[in-house]
Amino acid sequence: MPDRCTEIARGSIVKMNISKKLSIIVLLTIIEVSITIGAACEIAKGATFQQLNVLHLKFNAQFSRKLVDIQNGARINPQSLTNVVTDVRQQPLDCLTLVNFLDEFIMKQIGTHYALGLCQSDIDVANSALIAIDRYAEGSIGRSALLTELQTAAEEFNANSAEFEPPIAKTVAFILKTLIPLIIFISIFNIAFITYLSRTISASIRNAIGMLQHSNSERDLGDDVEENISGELAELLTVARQRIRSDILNRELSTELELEVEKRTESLQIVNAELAEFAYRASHDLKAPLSSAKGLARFVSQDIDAGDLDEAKLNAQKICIQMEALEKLVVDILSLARADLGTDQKEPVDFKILIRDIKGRLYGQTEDASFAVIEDIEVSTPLVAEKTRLAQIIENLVSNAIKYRDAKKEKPFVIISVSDDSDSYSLTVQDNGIGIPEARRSEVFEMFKRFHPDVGAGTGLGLAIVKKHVDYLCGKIDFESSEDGTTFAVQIPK
Amino acid sequence: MSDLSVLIVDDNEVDRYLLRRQLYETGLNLEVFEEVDGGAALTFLQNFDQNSADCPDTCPPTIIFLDINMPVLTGLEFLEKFAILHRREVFRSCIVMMFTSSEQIEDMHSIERFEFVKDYLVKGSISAADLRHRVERAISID
Repeated sequence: MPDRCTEIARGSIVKMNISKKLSIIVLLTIIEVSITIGAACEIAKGATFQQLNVLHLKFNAQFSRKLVDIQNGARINPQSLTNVVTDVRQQPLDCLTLVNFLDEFIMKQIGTHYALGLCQSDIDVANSALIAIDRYAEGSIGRSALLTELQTAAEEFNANSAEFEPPIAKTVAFILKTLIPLIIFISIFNIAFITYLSRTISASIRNAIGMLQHSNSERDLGDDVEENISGELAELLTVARQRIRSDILNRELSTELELEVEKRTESLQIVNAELAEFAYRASHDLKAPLSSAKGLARFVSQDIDAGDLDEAKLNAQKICIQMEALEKLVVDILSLARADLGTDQKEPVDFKILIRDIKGRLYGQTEDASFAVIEDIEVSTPLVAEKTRLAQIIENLVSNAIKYRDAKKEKPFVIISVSDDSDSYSLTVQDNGIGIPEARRSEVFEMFKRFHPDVGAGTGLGLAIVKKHVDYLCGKIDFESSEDGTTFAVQIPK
Repeated sequence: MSDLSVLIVDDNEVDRYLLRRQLYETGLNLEVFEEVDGGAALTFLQNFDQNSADCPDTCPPTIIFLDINMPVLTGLEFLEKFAILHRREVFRSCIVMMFTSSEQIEDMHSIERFEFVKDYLVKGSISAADLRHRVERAISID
C-alpha cells in the first residue's frame, strides 16, 4: 500500500503545473537562504557576546583599580564611581537585549540558560552598588560601608564574568554544530528536489514532443492531449492546435479563393474569345449581303443608263434577295442575343396554339402540298416557360426540316412530337430530309455554320439559337442524322 | 478572240455575277467561265487538259478567281489538288487570285505556300480600276 501511495504522490507531483513546480523551487530556495542568514546571525551574536564579556572584564578591572585606590586612601569621587559602575552594567544589559526567544529556547535546551541569569545578577549587583554610591553621596552611609558594598560588587562581577564565558562558548559551538549540518542537509535536499522537479518538467515537455511526433493519425490530437498531458503544456498545445487549425483553414480558404479566381478568369477569357469570334463572324456575314447589294445597286444604275432595263430589274430583284438575307440575319442575331436574357413573362405553354402559329409563319415555305407537317402532342401538365423560347426552338427545327427537305423522296415530312413524364418534357422534331454531313456533325450547334450552302438562304444561326434556349431552360438537345433524315430530341426538366 | 480567259470559282451566284460585271468594266478583253465549287472547277480544268489535245488553239484560263468557303471542295482543298495539275506544261502559265470575303489571317497564311497564288482580293472592297491594275500586275509578275 505505501508504494501505491508514493506512486500517487509522485503522480500528483508529475501532473502538477509547471508554474507550481517553479513556485516550490523558489520557496525552497527562500527557506534555505533564510536559514543560512539566520545561522550566520546567531554565530555573529555569539561573537558579540564574547566581545561584550571582554569589555565587561575591562570595565571590571577599571572598577577594581578604583576600589584599590580608595582602599589605599584615595578620595572617593561618587560621580566617577557611578560612571564606572554604569559602564560595567552596560554589557549585561546589551546581552539581554540581544537575546531573543529562539536563543532562550536553544539555551534552555542545552542547559546554558544560566548565562542569562548571570547577566541579570550582574545588573542587580551594579544597581545596588549605584544605590550605595548615591547614599554615600547623600551622606546616609559611611566610607567603610560603601567600600564593603563595592568590594562585594567587584567580587561578584569577576566571578560572574568567569562563569559567563563557558556557556556562551558552548552555545556558539552548539549552533555551529547543529546549523551547519542542517544547512548542508537542506541544501542537498534542495538540490535533489529541484533536480527532480526540473526533470519532471523536461520529461513532460519531452513526453509532449514525443506524442506530437508519433501522433496516431486516426486519433484526434485533442484526445491525446487530454489523456497524456495536463497543466500549462496541455493549454499550450490546445491553443497552438486551435491557432494552427485556423491558419490552415485560412490558407485553404485563400487557396480556394485563388482557384475560384483562376476558374472565373478562365471562363471569362473563353467568353471573351467567343464574343470576339461572334463579332467577327457576325460582322463578316452582315457585310457580305451589304457589299453585294452595293455592287448590284451600282450595276442597276449602269444598266438604266445603258437602257438595259431587264438587267436592271434582275439586279434590283437580286438586291431584294440580299436585303431579305440581311434582315433575316439581323433578326436571328437579335434572337440569339435575347436568348441570353430572361425578360419575357413565364406562362403555361399551349403547344397546339404554338405550333399552329409556327405553321402559319412557315406557310410560305410549305406551300408545296406534298410537304407534310405532322404533330403529335400529349402533355399532362402544361410547361410553364417563356413562350418565345419554345416558339423559337420549334420554329428553327421545323424550318430546317422544310429547308433541307430531300427532293428525291416522294413524301417529305416533319413530325413534331411533344410529351411529358414525371420529371421532364420531351420534344422531338423528325424529318426525312437530306441529313447533316457526317464530318460536320460536331459543329451543328456552332454559330454561322452552314452545311448546305447551295440550299436556300440560311444564316447559320438557327441551331445555335435553339441550343441557347435549351441551355437556358436547363435542358439538353441531341440529334441523329443519316441520309434518311434527321431527328432532334430536346429534353426539358420539369 | 479574247486576250485573256478567266475562271470564276464561287458558290455564290451574286458574287460571280458581281465579279464578272466588274471584270467587263475593267475594259480588258476577257472570256469568263464560271464554276460553282472547287470540285466542278477541277473537272472543268481536267476536261480542258483532255480537249487541248484535240483543239490546240483553246487555252486554259490564265487567271482563276477562287473563293475559299465553298461546298464539295473548298478553295484550299482545290489549291492542294490544282498544285499537282499545275506541274503540267499546259497549266504552267495559270495563276490564281483568291477572291473571298474572308479576311482571316490564317486563311492568308495557308495559301502562301502555293507559288501560283498571286493575289488576295477581298470581296466588295475593290473598284474596277483597282481590279484592272491588280490583274495586270498579277500577269506581269507571272
